[in-house]
Amino acid sequence: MKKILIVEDDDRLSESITRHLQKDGYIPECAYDGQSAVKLFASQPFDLVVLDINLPRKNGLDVCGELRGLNSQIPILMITAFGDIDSKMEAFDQGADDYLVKPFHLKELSAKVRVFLKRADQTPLLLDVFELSGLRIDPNRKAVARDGKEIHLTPKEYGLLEYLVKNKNRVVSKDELARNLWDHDYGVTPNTIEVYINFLRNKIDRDFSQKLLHTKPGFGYYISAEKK
Amino acid sequence: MNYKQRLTSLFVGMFLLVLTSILIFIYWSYSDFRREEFFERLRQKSYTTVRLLANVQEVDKDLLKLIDQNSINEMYDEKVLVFNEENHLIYSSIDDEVIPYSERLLHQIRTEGDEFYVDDDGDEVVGVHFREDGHDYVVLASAYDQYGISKLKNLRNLVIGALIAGTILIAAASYFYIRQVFKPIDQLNHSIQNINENNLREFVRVGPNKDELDDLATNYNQMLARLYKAFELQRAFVRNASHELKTPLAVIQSKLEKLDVQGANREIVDSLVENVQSQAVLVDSLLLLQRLQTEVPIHKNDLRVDEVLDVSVSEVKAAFGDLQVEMDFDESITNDKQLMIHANSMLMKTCFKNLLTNAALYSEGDAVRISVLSDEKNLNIVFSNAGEEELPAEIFEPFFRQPKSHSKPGSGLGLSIVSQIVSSVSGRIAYRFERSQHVFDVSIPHL
Repeated sequence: MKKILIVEDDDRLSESITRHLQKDGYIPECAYDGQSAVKLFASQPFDLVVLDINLPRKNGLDVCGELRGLNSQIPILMITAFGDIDSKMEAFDQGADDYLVKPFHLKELSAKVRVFLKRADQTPLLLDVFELSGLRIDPNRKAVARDGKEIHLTPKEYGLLEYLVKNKNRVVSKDELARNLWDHDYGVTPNTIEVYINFLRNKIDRDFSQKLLHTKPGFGYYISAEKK
Repeated sequence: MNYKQRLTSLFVGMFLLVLTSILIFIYWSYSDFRREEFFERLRQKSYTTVRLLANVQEVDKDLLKLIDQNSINEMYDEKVLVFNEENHLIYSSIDDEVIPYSERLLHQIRTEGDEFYVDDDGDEVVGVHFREDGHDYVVLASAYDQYGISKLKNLRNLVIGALIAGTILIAAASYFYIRQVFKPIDQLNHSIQNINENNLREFVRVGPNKDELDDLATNYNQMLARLYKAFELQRAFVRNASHELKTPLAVIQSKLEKLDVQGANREIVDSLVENVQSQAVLVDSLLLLQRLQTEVPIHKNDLRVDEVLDVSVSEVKAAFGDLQVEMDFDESITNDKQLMIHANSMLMKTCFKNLLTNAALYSEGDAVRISVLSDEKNLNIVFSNAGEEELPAEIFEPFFRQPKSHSKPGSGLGLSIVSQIVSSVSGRIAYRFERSQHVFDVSIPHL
């Protein structure tokens, strides 16, 4: 049985959350202010923390930082009252893993709790690293390096590169890229793909003499380390 | 010219003035002294010559010339002329040197006394009236003061050299001195420059000396603290207001969700949940608008617009499954720098989501096209979707709603939030209606 610490100053909301999580089969413990939350957390082990930001006596953000200091692994789920830009940023800075904005669906809460507890349980599968003539793509860290030099790619650029490398030496059409890398009915124009290919080329090929990303005019693109 | 340079040049100017006057005074005094001394020597010479000529009978003119030519302290270009009562030249020491003279000059010497002057070729001349033992002579003696003049020239060169060297030295010295004086001020200035809206809590360093500069730093820090407190109050207002307004909504919603009702009542409960949600959106929107309108700074970083657009599109599509989005990057985008803007990612997401939600709610058909173009300074993100007629200009005003859209959800705050967000990143938003399309053109300066 997993133990969950609920820190929420409004007893009505705290009660709803407690009952709901009990029904899901967890053991919830409640704290109503920041100080007692830290004390309670220090006195016994927990598997997850649900933490409101606006708390009496000690601000939820500070509590979050302190809990993080006590346990660097535990998932912390913040509840914020506001879509306020400053606090969300601070919440992540203080080490929160995710947040829910009031009012939230209890189902959404249990879904997030489930995901975090599951993630904490299993060690993730290690994916194979791709290597292509000095270009190293690590899907676990989503990191790309060429000749040992780290290359910063945005998620979209990374996805494009990974797809091309997985299909290396094969010409991939713009259509195929659009279908595989963008949601269906999230259309991208051919020129958008060209722009991304261009960015990618600037980042992985421009400073190197051997070019990896090639264009086959009229057909598409391919990645190849072989000399033409 | 900054203050340091101004101070340096003022200092150098003052020094130059003082030094120049001192050196000019020294030079002038010395040259005066030399002239007087030289005239005195010439006069002595004249007396000696004329006495020899008048009183010692054995000395005739040729012998005198001989004595003159061999005298030990012979002066350069020396010449002596002696005139008698009738202004006749009775003795001339060297024949090839000339002393220009006139009757008037001789007369003047007789009546007014000794004369000193410099003749045309630079020789100094002394005219002496000699009256003794019944003789009445006028003597003109002239010579060039080679040693004195060359000493004077030497002094002049020294003075000029001293002036130049002194100026250079004092300029360098005062520059270093002033730089030293300004060092703590520069340091203070530098640390003040490093403080921006994102690190208001980092105060400038106060030194241990309790001097004027430390006072300045302390006062600056106190001002910063007051500013920070004012900002904090603003933030706390938004925080507390949203907490107080939304916690009850969360309670209501969680209770509604627990109601286990079926049939017609289920519909009522569902619509209540929906009402709670839209109330929450309204609270968020109002507080966001309030937050944007205060001058409290917003945390910003460099973002890639396409990334924010992608997230916004997928979040809006989660709520409006039918929405068809087409993304078009213009050929003008060749470098990923053109897609970088300095903004707050959550605000930009809200901005794009509001525009997309508007398209999803009010558009004819479900297609929205996002075109991204760029010029040298700005990045334009253009949202267009089909529409029937042009919207009025008031759409960016808070709470403005089209009469016929009252049946649809929304508070009329979306576009005014968009326009506030866009202006918070020094961008502009424009609306136009062309070819049956509503076009919202967001223009933001890129990096």
